[in-house]
Amino acid sequence: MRRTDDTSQRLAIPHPWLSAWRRLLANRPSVVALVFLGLLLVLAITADMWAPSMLGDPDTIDTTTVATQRLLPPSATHPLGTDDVGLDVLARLIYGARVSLAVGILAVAVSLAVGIVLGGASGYFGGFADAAIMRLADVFLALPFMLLAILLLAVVPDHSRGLGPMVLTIGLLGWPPIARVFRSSVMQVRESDFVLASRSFGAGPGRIMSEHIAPNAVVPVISLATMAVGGAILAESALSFLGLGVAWPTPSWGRMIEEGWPFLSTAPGLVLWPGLAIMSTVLAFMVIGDGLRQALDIRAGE
Amino acid sequence: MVGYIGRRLLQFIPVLLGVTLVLFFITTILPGDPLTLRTGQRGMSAVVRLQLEREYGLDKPWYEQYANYLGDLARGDLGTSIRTGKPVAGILAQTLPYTLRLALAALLVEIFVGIGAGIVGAVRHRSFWDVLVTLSSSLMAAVPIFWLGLLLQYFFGIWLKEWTGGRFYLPVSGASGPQFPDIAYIILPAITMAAVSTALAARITRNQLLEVANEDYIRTARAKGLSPNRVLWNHSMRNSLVPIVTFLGIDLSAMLSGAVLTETVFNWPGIGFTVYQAIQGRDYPVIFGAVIVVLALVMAVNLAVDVSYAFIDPRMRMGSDSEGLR
Repeated sequence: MRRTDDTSQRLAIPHPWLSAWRRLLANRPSVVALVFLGLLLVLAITADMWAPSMLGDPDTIDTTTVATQRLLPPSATHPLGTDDVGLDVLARLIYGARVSLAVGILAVAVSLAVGIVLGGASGYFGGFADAAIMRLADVFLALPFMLLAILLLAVVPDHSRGLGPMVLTIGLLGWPPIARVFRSSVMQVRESDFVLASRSFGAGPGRIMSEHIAPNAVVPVISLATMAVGGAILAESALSFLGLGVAWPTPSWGRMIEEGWPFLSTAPGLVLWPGLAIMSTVLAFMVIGDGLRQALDIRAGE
Repeated sequence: MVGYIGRRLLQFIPVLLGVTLVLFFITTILPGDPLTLRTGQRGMSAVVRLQLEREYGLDKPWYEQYANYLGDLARGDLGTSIRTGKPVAGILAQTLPYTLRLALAALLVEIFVGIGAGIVGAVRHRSFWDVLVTLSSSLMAAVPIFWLGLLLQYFFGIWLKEWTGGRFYLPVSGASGPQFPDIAYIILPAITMAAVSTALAARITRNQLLEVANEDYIRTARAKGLSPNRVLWNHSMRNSLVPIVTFLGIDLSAMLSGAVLTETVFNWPGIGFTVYQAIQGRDYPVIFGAVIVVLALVMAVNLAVDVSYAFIDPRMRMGSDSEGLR
């Protein structure tokens, strides 16, 4: 890595990652999405410091005041009103962001780990390994995601409903697209001259893979993985809506929609706000993913 | 052609075996015990329990249970529901038509609205409608479908009813009832189910038509004086169809598997709602049967899409024949 930096400095060519980052920042929708996600992340992380005092506790029901505090319309103290058990909707939305962001990012990390290992092996070794891994991917892709995820999560006992099962389910079902893209990318890079050069200098498969192929082949995976975070958040919300998510009272956006559903005619905000939160967050990841695809496309130039 | 279809059918078998094995393991290793669930909190004597285990084959080793299951499957016997005691095949036969009806209605929405909007977007390139098509297709990819269903329920079932003083609104639950003709019940679920794919179909149609528009044969067709409509339908559309049909095929299978959400939101008595209820009650034979049936349907749709290429694009017919000979 250092060698590359030295050369770039001498030739006054910015590092490829740096120029890609600059191209991303020149893309206005991506910048808006980055700012939105940055704000959301800061709000979610710092929530404990201000949300309970300003808005109210997000998940402890106050039984003494629940009768007077439930289903309140928006006001200065509760900007988005309260839900059917008197909890502040905005506070729950902000705490819900923790679940959505954590599940989205961790699930894709799992998909990436599995997809890169399997896709890399498939692309590098070819032959039987390739055929076996790709047929396995076909089987996974042939299975309707929603049904399989429901099946896997339905067997999780209620007391262990946490982030873990959700992350593993979405992550383990999400590897085939990543493996496929990484595989074809590895196959492409494998044939390039610098790999041949390195091999002729006597580098072994491990070194060629980790130092030459992987850093180059991973480029198309980056934008795919960013979009996959959006997909994972969407999947989490759907599964939580069906009652398979993180256990109550931890707020989760999908669960909030399910809880607000019976009050659709009297308090539509309970359904409206969490849905908007899901939509904007997912959209932000997709916009950034698309921006990254354009920014990382070497053919696009400066 | 026949060889090609035959080969696709043979490929179907290992996938189905793999899938049934995976599903079988998931449902046998799991902790929730169906027998305890059936009796609830009352519990049961050891003798009754053993008898029930024997009755459902739960006392045999896993490979025997799996072999039994496959044997039954081959005969079309999907077992009996642990909760209601009714045959699973019967339950699915009752609910499947509802799901198919819903998926078909959604597909019609997708074809007419989606492809229609895509054509408008391409013909009036860079107009307001074009921008609307492009924007909405990006936006819809991020919309939770169950949320969209609830929004539609609010606007067409609640808000519209209040606004028109109860004279005009749409039903939001079930598949039939005394107040409305049956067709009214399918409108909102069909739109919900079709929404995401309609937007995508519009974008694919638009992009495909715009791409084809630059081809030489389109210029030739125009040059020989054909009307714009003829060029559109006989030349542009015909050549854009393969990606569109591919998408519709992939999409119908996505719809069938995504039926769980739409049907749950609208209490639509189809297979998705049945799966949802079965999962709540850990009624494995029902879950199992439903997943297998939906899966087989999805595969059949995929096969039909592959075969339809041969009719749409003669080049594919040649390709598939030579592949079949190999």
